[in-house]
Amino acid sequence: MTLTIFFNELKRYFYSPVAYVISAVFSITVGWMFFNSIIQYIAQIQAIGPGGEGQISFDNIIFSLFGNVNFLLLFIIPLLTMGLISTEKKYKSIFVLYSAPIDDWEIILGKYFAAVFVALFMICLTFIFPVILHFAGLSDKSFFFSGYLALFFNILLYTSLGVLGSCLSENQMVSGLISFAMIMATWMLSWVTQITANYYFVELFHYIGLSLHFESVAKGILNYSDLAYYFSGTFFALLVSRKILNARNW
Amino acid sequence: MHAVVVDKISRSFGVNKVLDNLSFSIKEGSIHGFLGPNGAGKSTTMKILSGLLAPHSGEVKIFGESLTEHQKKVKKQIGILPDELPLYYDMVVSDFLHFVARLNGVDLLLIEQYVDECLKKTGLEENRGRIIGNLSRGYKQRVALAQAMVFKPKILILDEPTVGLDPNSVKEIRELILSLKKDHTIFLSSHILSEVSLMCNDLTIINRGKIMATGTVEEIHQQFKTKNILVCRVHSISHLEKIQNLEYVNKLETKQLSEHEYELRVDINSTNDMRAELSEAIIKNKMGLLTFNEEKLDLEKLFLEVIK
Ligand SMILES: Nc1ncnc2c1ncn2[C@@H]1O[C@H](COP(=O)(O)OP(=O)(O)OP(=O)(O)O)[C@@H](O)[C@H]1O
Ligand SMILES: [Mg+2]
Repeated sequence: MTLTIFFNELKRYFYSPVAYVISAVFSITVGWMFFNSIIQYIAQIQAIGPGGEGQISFDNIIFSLFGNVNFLLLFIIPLLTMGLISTEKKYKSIFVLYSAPIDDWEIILGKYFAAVFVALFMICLTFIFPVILHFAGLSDKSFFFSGYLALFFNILLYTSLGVLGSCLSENQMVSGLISFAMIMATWMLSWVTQITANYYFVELFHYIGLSLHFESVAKGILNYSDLAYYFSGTFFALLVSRKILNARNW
Repeated sequence: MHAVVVDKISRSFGVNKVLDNLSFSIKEGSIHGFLGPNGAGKSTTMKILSGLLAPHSGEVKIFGESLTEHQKKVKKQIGILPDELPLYYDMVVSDFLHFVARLNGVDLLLIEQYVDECLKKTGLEENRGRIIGNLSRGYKQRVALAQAMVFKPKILILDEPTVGLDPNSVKEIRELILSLKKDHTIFLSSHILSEVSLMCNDLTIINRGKIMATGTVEEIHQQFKTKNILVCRVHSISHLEKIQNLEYVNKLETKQLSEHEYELRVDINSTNDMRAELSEAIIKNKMGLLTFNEEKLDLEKLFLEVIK
């Protein structure tokens, strides 16, 4: 039944303007950012003078590209997920799911994967940029694999937090803001390390914070600890979502 | 065999105790009416019966199996039309029914047939391709009814199924519900008492979360009958005072219906069955007995009596 819910949810995403509008905004913004980094790159080369190509690598462009996409996801994912559960509760269509002989896991997972699918669909729209860089003469493409892998993991985690936010309120605006705050928090936690010198705190918050893991995956270093971080975070968020859905006490 | 047994369920919202130790049962194959004033807890009870809401204590058994312990198996047998319509307003009618049928485990090969049948029964055929949000209130109500029955559950729980429909549709939906009686057990709440007396064999009346009466309509009537009134029509009222003077007659009202037809409303001062005695007295006095009845079962009076 997870599949039934998944397909139904996808249909609703793509029958409504939501998926298209978000995708359009997303790709235009990423395109603009990409264009600007190229301009900057060219400006830097020109500043150094003839023969500068060798001294400044493409890496900067690539890293800024992934960084930018990731930054956009902070906003896009809450927009995509905020209505998943909250509007169903508000308009009572959730009763259809509650009265069906299915487990709450199936509801959560069906919706979660539908949102992940739409987010990945948007990410696919950015595949055009590596292609452009390829024709511009980029030789080392391993960056892209690790970069996209890191984005993929981020999407898994962000979307699970989005689903959780959506379970927390019947108002989709509130849900979206909660999700946004939670996703922001995964980044901001690592900033705590700057205000304390306590070794254990620093280590702990470094691990809980997302940036360490994102950077390590994006650089192509895939540790077990990073995998464990992403999957436990995602699983935990979905587990809590299911618990909330299961309570039915409003 | 009982289709549904409700055993001492309670439920509160905050400090507001909405259901208080509710127990009753619904016979298989019956149409069971559910009455109560606004805010009595009818909709809440119905939601609990279908697993939309959890009770705080007590148990619901569906065909002998606990609703909380055998959710998957039990929920397949229950279709509900709750008071708030459970609709995806952005979906097309037939897609929506497909989805609901699939969720409730209807075989893929049968879905098309189930949906078509259901659309036909609920009079939605012409609107099958429309977006639910664009339908009129009455048609939304029909879609909500359709989603309750599309997977052919054994038990149908209908919370005010005819609310918001025009008189013609009300008639259609009532006929539909009556026709569903063949292979469904139906639990139906309504504020329209004539509707209930027309359709239901059994009745449960609640007030402020407590059961006031439950059983067949006749049983409840017997239980709450405070006045014992016999209504008869006679040819002449020449010996009226003799009837008046019978020791078991409290009050007597007469009404002339035509030149040779009078209606007598005889208020009997005990709850015993006095039909035989009274009819004999009328015949003995040569008043020309035309018809003789107990006062008609008036659900409205009964209802007001019960929730008093
Ligand atoms: N989600 C909720 N939160 C708080 N209180 C609720 C909730 N749902 C119902 N109630 C309260 O429970 C009581 C019973 O409500 P319910 O809807 O069951 O009544 P009802 O018998 O269906 O009334 P009506 O005839 O108006 O449909 C009401 O006092 C209502 O305010
Ligand atoms: Mg109600």
